[in-house]
Amino acid sequence: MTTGPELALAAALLFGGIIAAGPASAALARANWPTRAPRPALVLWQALCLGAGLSFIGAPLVLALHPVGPDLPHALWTFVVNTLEGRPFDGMAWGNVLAGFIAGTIALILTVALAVSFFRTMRRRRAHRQVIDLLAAAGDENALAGISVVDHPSALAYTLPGWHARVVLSAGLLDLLEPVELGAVIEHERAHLRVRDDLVQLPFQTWAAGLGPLPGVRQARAAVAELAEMLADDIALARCRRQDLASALAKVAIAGVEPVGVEPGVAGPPARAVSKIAGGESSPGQVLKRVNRLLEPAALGAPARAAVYLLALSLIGLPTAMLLFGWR
Amino acid sequence: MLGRGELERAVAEVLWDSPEPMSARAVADSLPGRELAVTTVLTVLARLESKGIVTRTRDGRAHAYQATASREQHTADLMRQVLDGVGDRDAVLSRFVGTASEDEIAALRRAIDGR
Repeated sequence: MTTGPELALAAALLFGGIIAAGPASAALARANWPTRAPRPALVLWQALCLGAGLSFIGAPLVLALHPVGPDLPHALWTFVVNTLEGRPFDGMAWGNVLAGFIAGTIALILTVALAVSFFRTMRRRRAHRQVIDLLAAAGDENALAGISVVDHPSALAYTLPGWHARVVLSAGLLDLLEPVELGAVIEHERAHLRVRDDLVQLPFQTWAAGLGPLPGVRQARAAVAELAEMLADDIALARCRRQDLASALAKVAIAGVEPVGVEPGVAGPPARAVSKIAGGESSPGQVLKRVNRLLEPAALGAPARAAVYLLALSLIGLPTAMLLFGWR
Repeated sequence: MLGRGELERAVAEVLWDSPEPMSARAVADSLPGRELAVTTVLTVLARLESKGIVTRTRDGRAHAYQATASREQHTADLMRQVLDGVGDRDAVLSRFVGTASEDEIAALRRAIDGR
């Protein structure tokens, strides 16, 4: 391979991708301001993720295709035409072919991992929903319309997102909370369904499952999950009071550790207390953070939010522009 | 006319309430106030079997059906999955509140008692 501007471009892309996936992600996961602007922060996370992906695929692609065109669109076009004419590697040395193979492999792995994760999640949700629909009493009176209530003594509320979404509440939760607090919980869950933040979280869940040992990946997943909860809190506030949502959060979190009731043990009579269960991967201090920001709101101002959106745009725009304007 | 979901629930409830395995005929007969063809009930039972709610054993020339677990146990198992954080790893579901640490609980107590 000849050295030239294409090498500098590929190096710049690779460097940018490493920065985005490494130090930039770590800094964003540690930062405090996202709590004050969950929606812009979520957009920034997506831009960081997409920008890094573009750079990691773009860098080897530039090395592969630079002999056949002055920029990516032209080079890709030439490659497609050559392929259709039965001589795909015309004008490319073995090094170019190898780089192309690497670019294709990275793109394929990312896409397949995402698709596998998507369908597995859908399948698990469907299985869960089918059992819920058999077990839960459909709330058909007053405020509980469209909500499944399961007869279980611990205080639980959750959402199964998707085309056939379900909001599930437990009998223990209905006992624990005041009606206004219950209303706040329902608004929070409905906010998840409206935003479809499960789709925003999916890529991060996928990378965390596949690239778990890499530093920063788990923190990114946890940060995005936390921001999704905060965004749902903020949206719920359009229809409920801050104090009610905050006290619902606190009560449910406290009840989660202390037995509010007993559940029938799998083996039968000796009833076992519902106690703290290891394994949940929520980030430490999340509930307290959410309660505090509800009670002492300090939303980021409009200029700062605009700056975050602009940064997000440039994270995607920069690698895109580099690939479009080319190497000659 | 019953919806598909309601019919499945009704059939599942009959089997959950029954201490003995039942034939499809017996299930159809014990659905209160409904005239259902046995073939309809068999279709519903097959769906419940594929969902893991019902098992089938050979009983002479017909099949006997029974619930794989009690209603309470199914509920307990499902809620256990939710509490164990299946959703946290896989985005299957999103919980209102995740598991809080002891320190956090203490701080939360102070926060709600302070008002």
